[in-house]
Order: sequence, then C-alpha cells, then structure tokens
Amino acid sequence: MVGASTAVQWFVLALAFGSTVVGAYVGYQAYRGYRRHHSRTMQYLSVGLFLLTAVAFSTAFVGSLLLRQGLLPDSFQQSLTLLTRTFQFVGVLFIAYSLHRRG
Amino acid sequence: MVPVNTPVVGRSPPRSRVGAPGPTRSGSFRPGSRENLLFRTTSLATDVSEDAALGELLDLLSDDYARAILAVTSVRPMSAKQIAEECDMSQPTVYRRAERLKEFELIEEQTHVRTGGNDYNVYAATLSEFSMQLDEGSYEASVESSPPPAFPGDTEDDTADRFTKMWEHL
Repeated sequence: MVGASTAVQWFVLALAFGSTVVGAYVGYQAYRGYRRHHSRTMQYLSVGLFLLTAVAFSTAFVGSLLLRQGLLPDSFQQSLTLLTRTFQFVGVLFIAYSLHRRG
Repeated sequence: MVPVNTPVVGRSPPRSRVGAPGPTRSGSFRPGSRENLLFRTTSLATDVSEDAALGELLDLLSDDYARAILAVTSVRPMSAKQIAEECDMSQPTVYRRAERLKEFELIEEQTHVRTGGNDYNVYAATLSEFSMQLDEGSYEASVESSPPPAFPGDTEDDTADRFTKMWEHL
C-alpha cells in the first residue's frame, strides 16, 4: 500500500509539472500576442496566466519537493500553501481585469 | 527586342488568386477564376439593366455610411445598435444602409440566439475585394467575398494572433 501511495504522489507531482509547462505555453502565446499587437489586454492576460500556472505551480512543485526531501521543515507547509494560493488569486485577478478593460 | 511596356493585345487571362478563402456566390461564374463576376457592362451594347446595377453598386460604395458599416462589421459581427453607436449614426440609417448592402450581398445578417428568448440580429461584412476593369469599351466589375469568420481571428495563421483577437473580442 505504501508503494501505491508513493506512486500516486509522484503522479501528482508529474501533473503539477505538466500544468506548469502547458500553462507557461498558454501564457507565452498571450505574451506573444501582447508583443505582436501591443495589446495591454494581452499583457495583463499573460501576466495573469503566468502567475496562475507557471509561478503558482512551480512554487507548489519545488516547495513540495523540498518538503519531501526534508530540506524544508514541515512547519513551512502552511506558508507554502498560502504563497501558492496568493499567486493563484493575483493571477485570476489579472485575468479578470484583462477581460474587462478595453483597448 | 521587345519593349518592356508593350500594350497587351486582347483580353488578359483571368487573374488567378491564391488563398482566396471561401466559395464564390451569385452572379455568373467564370471558370478558371475564383473571382465572382457580377457585372459586365458595355457602352456599345444596350444592356442598361447591368449598367444600372454597376452604377447602383458604385453609388452604394461611395456612401460614407455604407463604407463605415462595412468596415466595422468586417472586424466582428455587430447589431444595428452597436453599429449606430460605433459609427455615430442613427439606427434607421444603419438599417437602410444594411438593407442595401444585403441586396448586393456585401454584408450578411445573422441571428444571435439567446437563451432568454431575446434573439437579436447582427451584421457581418462578407465583402473582401471589389475591382473594376475597363477593357475595349466595356466595364468588368467583380466582387469577391469571403464568409465571415466563425469567431474573431479565425483566419489568422499564428496562434498568438488568434488568441489576441479572440480574447480582445470577448
């Protein structure tokens, strides 16, 4: 049973890594849209997407790796979650703002 | 030695177009050309009706309001109210011009179905090119149209461009 749960944990990590990569790709396309069209809307969208996916996921990814390896004490668990959630919240705020601003 | 600017004798071959999207509509179709020949008028023949049709089309295109409607609806489909606001004209003006543009199939009317039951109509420009040639006493005018994109930026090749157009028009 221990082996199975470890496998699941690794799978969760792999998914988090995948989300980071794919999210960064979407954010990168938004960034290219901003560069090609000088669109502020796309600038906010790309920042939001990067925060929501690449930054938040890699924080969670690296953080949980460090926790697993014992390089960070377990007491950091909560602050890590707080940090990740903050990035996600600011990310969606940027995307919402990008949706509603014009031009 | 052939001089560079020798006048072309006879009818020039139909221009072939690469990447002209969409099917051609109405009017007589010239084989080998993706253009849509709408009018062929000649001052020698007495084909008044076609002459008049070309005149009407030119009249319509010379109208500032009609061109403004074509321009804004080529970016994205818009309702008469939106067009009126965007182009700073009255709604009856929009409806009148839109009717004329529809007669010449330069614009398309689509119905937006809404769940609440308040369906409304939007206009989308289908005109992509209008050209006119004078050759040996006769005018040839052709209108090339493309179907309006399913969503803004549909026709862009680059992902970032499609993304930008789509997101900006949400």
